[in-house]
Amino acid sequence: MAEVGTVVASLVYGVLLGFVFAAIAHGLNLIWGVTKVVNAAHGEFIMLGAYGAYFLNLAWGLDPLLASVVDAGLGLAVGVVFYFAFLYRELRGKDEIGLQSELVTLVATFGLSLVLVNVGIIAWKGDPRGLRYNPGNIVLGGLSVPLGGVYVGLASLGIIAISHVFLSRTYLGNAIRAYSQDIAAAKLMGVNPTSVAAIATGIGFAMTMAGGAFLTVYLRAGITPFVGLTYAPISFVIVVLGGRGKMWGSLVGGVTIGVLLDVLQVFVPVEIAYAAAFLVVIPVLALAPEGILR
Amino acid sequence: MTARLAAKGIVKRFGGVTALDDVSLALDQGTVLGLIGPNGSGKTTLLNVLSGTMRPTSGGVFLDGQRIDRLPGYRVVRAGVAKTHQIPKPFPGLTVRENVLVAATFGGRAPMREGADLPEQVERILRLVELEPRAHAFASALTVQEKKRLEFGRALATGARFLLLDETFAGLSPDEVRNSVEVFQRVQAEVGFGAVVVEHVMRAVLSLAQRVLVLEEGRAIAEGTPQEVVRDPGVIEAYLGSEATNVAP
Repeated sequence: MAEVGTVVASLVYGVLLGFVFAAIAHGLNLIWGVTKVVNAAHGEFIMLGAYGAYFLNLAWGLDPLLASVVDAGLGLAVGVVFYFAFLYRELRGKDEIGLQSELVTLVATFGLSLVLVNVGIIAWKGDPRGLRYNPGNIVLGGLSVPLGGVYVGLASLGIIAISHVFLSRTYLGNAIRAYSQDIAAAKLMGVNPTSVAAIATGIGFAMTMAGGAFLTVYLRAGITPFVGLTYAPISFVIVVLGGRGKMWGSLVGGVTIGVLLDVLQVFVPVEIAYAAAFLVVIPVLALAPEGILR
Repeated sequence: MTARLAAKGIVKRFGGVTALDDVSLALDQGTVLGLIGPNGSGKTTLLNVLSGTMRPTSGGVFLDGQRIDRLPGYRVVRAGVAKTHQIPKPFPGLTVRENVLVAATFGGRAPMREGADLPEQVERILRLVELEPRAHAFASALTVQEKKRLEFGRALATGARFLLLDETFAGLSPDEVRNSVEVFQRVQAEVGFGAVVVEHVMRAVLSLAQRVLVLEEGRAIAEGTPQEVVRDPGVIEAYLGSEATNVAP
């Protein structure tokens, strides 16, 4: 029976990790779905969220859950600034976001990504940092699962639920969805395109940075300026898997990748598990290029 | 006090092409102005200028004497002039009700502040355009006629005093046109908006409009009551041709 218990505990761990992945990917998905911009600096804002949690822990002893609230507030502000600095000049007045705009913003955000990684190296060096957060363990089927992981997993699920309620139940959320479906028509309804896109970008950043704070609990190798290089591709895979712009897509994609990684680690070394998870995604996309959610 | 929408000396050039050449019009709230003319005569361009989607090269658009042609499109809507698309473009992933709600929330002059009576306003619009039974359907699931009614309803929901309707009746069967004209007239009688109606379906224009403006190659060649316009020799030659004998009452 211990075998079954191990598998269950491993699955629980995978699902919780999947929730954290989903929160991070949701940030990318929201910006991609609403503004049609692929934020190539996504990983670096995960990294900044993680460092935010680290320094808040160092300075005031905040745990990642509280730090995520601060990170989210910062993310909202940073996202709005990011929109006006990197996207506004390219997107303003456009009713259709064409290939030209997609490439311009991709290059601009890719440049930002390089700058942020290097600023990170200069400011914090490359050495891994860890923060102290250990609320104990819960024993599941003979295997102990760290409670910290449980808390941040559930908190991730919480912020995804909040964003869902916001998008489907509030006036502003309605306007964001309307803008994402048809910019020209949204303007004819009196929706201010600039403020809606800027706010959506801010919310996407808030989720990304809060997710970065949650992720610190799962970063066994510590926080480095290179965190984004691992987790940005995972976010992209999750978004593509779940379907761009689909609100529940990130959750389904996140849990799929989380469980997949976790199960694969039983059979192969960690480094190979990441590569293998991406390989599994390829046939899925060949059969369902719009994502696995209908 | 009735509001007044006016355009004075509108010129619109695209490179070397003059799409509109010194066109003026005026209408009061509660009246319908028909806008007709052959393909490429500038009707849709004129609607785009009136709705703030395009800026005129020269000339101005005035709502109650206030200039609105330099405002961004969404501000023109909030000021009280809303346009519908020729091909309805509802937000496909929103329900019928949510589509109307977006317009009601943001199209009004005080977005998000009039929370209390919003749901009531949305229900009223749905009732007016006879979409109540479809309120919870996704807009993508509507028939063409329902989509056109939703397009009309969304424009109404912005609270606009003037609606600009771009070929609302195109692509409908004669029965559907008759039905839609009835809906339009009943709603107009109840809400009392002014409208500029661009239309190819002559019968619809003639029955809706109190006055008709005829465009040809960007110029206004005639203006008057529907009866006057269809008898105008210049109009018959430019646009109606042999059709005139069929539509004249």
